Amino acid sequence: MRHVSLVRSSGFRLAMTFSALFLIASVIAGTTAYSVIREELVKRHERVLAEQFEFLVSAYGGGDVEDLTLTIEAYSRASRNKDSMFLLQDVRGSKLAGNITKVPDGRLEGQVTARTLGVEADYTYFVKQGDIGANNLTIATSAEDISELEEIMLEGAAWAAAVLLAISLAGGMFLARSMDRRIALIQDGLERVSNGDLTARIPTSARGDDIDTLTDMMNTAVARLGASVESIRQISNDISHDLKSPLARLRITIEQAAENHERGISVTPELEEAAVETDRIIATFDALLRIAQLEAGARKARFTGTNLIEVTMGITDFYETSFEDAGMAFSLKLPSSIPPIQGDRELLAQLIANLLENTLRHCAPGARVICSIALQDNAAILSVSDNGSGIPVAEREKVLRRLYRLERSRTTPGSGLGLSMVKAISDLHGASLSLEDNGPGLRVVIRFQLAADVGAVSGLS
Amino acid sequence: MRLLLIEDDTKLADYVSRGFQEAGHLCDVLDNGQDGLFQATRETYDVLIVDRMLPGLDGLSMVRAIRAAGNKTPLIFLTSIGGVDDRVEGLEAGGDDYLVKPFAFSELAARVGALARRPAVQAELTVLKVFDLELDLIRHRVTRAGQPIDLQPREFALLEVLMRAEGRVLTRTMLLERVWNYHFDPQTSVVETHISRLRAKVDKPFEVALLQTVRSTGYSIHAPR
Repeated sequence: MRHVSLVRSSGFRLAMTFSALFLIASVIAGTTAYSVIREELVKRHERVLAEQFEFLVSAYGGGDVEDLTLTIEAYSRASRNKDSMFLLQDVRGSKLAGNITKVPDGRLEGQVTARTLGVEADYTYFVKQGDIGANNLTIATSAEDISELEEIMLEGAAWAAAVLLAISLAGGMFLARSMDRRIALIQDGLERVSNGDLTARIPTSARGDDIDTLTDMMNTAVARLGASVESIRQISNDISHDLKSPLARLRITIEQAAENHERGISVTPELEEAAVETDRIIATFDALLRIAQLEAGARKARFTGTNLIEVTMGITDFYETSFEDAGMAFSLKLPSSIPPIQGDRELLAQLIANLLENTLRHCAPGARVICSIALQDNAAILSVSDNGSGIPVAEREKVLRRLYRLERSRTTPGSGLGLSMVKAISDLHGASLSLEDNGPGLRVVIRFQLAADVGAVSGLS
Repeated sequence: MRLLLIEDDTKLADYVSRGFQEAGHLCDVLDNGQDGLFQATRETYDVLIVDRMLPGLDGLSMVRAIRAAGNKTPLIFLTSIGGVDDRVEGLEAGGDDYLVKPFAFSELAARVGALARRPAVQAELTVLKVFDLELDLIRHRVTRAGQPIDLQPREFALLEVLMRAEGRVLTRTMLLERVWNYHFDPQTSVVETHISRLRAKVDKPFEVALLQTVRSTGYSIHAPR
């Protein structure tokens, strides 16, 4: 089995792609949440600052500078962490009270850095400045909480990303492993097939998922391939066995002719015999080719609506005299009408002809032969039955094979291809073929599906 | 007859042309499609015999070109491609008949003879006559020496085909095609059975036999010679 590296396995890649997408989504969601919270905090700082300023102005704006100075000093002392900063200046800009050491130049508004207010820190301050009585008041609150929030969010996000990555890596590996196991089974199966083992099948799971569907299709394809390879092997075997004997006979005849020629005896009988033998071999090859062409299925393109009754009447009429001459009783049982089937008149005629010729060849004088058509469950059932010696159950499957002949029939004329052709023709028409016991005798039954359901029926099961 | 055989298998071409020459006909032989097309459209022949697989221009295309040039000389295809679809293809391309290799020379001779004598415009006959045998196509009646003969519909059709080809040999497969419209080869002697039935009605009760069996070839109906 071929091993694929973890990174290239489709399960792992799927998991990684999914985690990457999840990460991007989390970053977008986190950023949005952060900015909403931050905006809310900023608004709150500004509101608190404004309220405090309002309060101081309304309480001490009247002119009591002493009180105001004391209050600011008290506020400044209370703010140990410099989270709140104050500065009260007189008109000339001299500091009256507060914890802001460095006096800023100009007017301050909104957000300023800590250094502006003389604080060594990397966060910012919200500042509000305004007149209070004759003096000037600056108040500021630190935005350290916002910086902290930023830090917490970043740290949290980093942890979350790490955990996510760990879980998705583990999950990806797990998925890759389980996928790999199933793919390995498919690889094993296909490798056996490519090594020539057409009986190999890929096991499927009970899940019935897409991979199982794919596996089922591969199994079906391999099974079909196996069947056709088997049939080719069968044919080559049959040809080498069954055509060898007529060729051997032909050779003997030619040798005989050569011998007679040397002795000055007429060779006409031998040559005639050779011609007959050659014709027989040619007929066998023709029949084999025809069956192969039928099995290829191209003939289906010429199918038209065909009346099975008309075809049957035509071909049985053709053979009726042969039955009379052979001393057999032939009868025909047909319904008065039948819906047309999609088919080929000539091939259907040949199918019936082959069945009739079989009975002519293998039944003794006095036999009764019945050809009938019956309608049943949206199917037309064509049958040819006789009361001859029949075919043993064990042989019924085999007689459909090319060139197969029953032991007792080896001496009667015939190529052993008649029933194979019948099967090929009925398969081409999507009909099912069965050989049944007629007690005594043989009954060949061919079931043609009618009308709409034609496509739903496959050949012989 | 003057025949043109276009066939690249020299052994087969020799065999066929010698056969026709021995029977007193002229037979020109060419071994490729281009020369065949040139010769067939330049000279006048009674029948063209064309192999389907030819070097240069293949038989099918050559026949299409001959027909496209307005040449209506009767034409028979010889081929080892024996599928029924191929036969239909050959006839659609402009062939008049089709014979699958390997074949007996007598079969080819019979078919070529039938093609050569096929009248361009057949006068509509209503009564076919061979010696004292008469077949009335309109009344669907057969008489011999004035006596009515009762025939089954298929026997009537068989006799009609034979009588239309009076004096010519019709092979078993030709009869199968013309009387029953079947193109497969029955493995039993079913055609012979029909002939013997017909013979029993048409010939047996009378002194002179008209329906002749041509050994290893087929059947022919003609007046005593």
